[in-house]
Amino acid sequence: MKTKFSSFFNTNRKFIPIFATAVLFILAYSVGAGFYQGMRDPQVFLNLFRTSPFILIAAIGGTFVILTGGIDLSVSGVVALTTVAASALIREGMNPLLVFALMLLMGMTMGTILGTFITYMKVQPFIATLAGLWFTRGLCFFISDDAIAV
Amino acid sequence: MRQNKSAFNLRKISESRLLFPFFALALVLLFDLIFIRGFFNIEVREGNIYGNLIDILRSGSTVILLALGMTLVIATGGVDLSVGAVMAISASVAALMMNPYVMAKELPENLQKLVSDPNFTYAPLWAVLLVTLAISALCGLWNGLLVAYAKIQPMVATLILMIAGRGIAQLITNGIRIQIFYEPYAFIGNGWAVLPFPLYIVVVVFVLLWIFTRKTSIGLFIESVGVNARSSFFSGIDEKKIKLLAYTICGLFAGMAGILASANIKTSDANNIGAALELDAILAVVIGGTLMVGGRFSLFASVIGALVMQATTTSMYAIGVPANAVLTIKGVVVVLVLLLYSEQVRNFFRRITSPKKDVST
Repeated sequence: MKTKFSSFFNTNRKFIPIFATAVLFILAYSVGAGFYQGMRDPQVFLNLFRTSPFILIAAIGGTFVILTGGIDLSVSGVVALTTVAASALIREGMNPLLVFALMLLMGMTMGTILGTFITYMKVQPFIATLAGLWFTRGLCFFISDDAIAV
Repeated sequence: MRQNKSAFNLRKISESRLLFPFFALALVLLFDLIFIRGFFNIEVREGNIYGNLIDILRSGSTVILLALGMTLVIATGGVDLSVGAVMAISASVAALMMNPYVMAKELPENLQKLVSDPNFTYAPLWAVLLVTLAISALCGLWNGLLVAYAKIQPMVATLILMIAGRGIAQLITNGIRIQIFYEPYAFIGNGWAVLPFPLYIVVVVFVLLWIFTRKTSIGLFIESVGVNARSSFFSGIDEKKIKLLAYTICGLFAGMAGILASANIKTSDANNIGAALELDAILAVVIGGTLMVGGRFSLFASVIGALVMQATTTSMYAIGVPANAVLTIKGVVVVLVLLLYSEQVRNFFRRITSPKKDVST
């Protein structure tokens, strides 16, 4: 029995992390559902995708950075800058589609600049992206001090 | 011959680890000299010295303390993200020990008066300082245990206390900001004896730490653990204990910084004391030329690095940049300074400081 179990583990070694993550998710969800009636509604599960898509998207991007042995702390800053800049531009009456394209371009530019520092100038990823985080966070306050309603 | 010798000296300077931190500090101060009128003015009032430069040293003292502890941790190849939270914890503990009556719902009439008396303290000052430093060293010990013995990645292990620490600080004071009325304690943070009092603390601590690491072999052990933990283990150094020591010292220094910060504002503000200061400290160490992967370190260079960060902040406030937007400028300054350290710029320096003949080879 024991050998069977360990051989199963060995053959499926690469699935262990994803399995562990799934177990954690189910555990957290079922504890929530156990304690709170409202969480048993399937709508709550769908709400996960509605309320946190930016985390999903950023995590996919972050995977590749971590695969290369680095880390990207500037993600949250870029998300903040994008929201502030996009809503400021839309409030000014710019075409939303154009704004989307501009924002994607802006995010790419930010990533490219940080990537250049890290790969060509050999700045350590943690430090370079931390500077990027501060830069983008601060820029938000240059654009607007208050929340902008769209 | 004579020329050759001077070129050699120049070369020695350009290879020195202190050159770049000093160069960065000079750049920031040069900016102040050109753009801010009267930045370098120094006044003498009632025998005490005031001015922007003194201000940089005074408000930089917390970052310098954090950077000193962080240098040892980074030299072992780790990083301590929890120093800001430890600062908050130590501030809460100190404030609670001096003024525990805020926890009570209602105060007797005469006690109310007593509590706001500048000479009143519940525990004596030495006990307050001792317990606070002991607790912050315990926080550092906890980080060290997680990193060295539980073998959790340093960034993740210290992230635990970074997040939990602010909650702990709030629990200690029950979510209240305790005001500190006790004058001798406040003097630690905002007193002046010709120069600001925190400055003397920093100098004493720096000298003690320098003797501790450089006049004994502890510094060498820390560096060897940072370069290669495994091989230093095989050469007889207990790398786990060295790491534990580094994190404990870092926690202790964070506690000291917390005392300075809370004494300066005379409040224990669990949410805002030391917020984002861990990043300042890490950047100060990196500007000081210590690599994040560990290895050689220089305490003095880290102090200069901390001064670069503080000088940037102070001069931005002097210009009138809003507090939130200062982050942008800091980000730019950090990137510029780090670009100075890159191979390309270093090679350029080497080329212009070395004799002509060497260039062709």
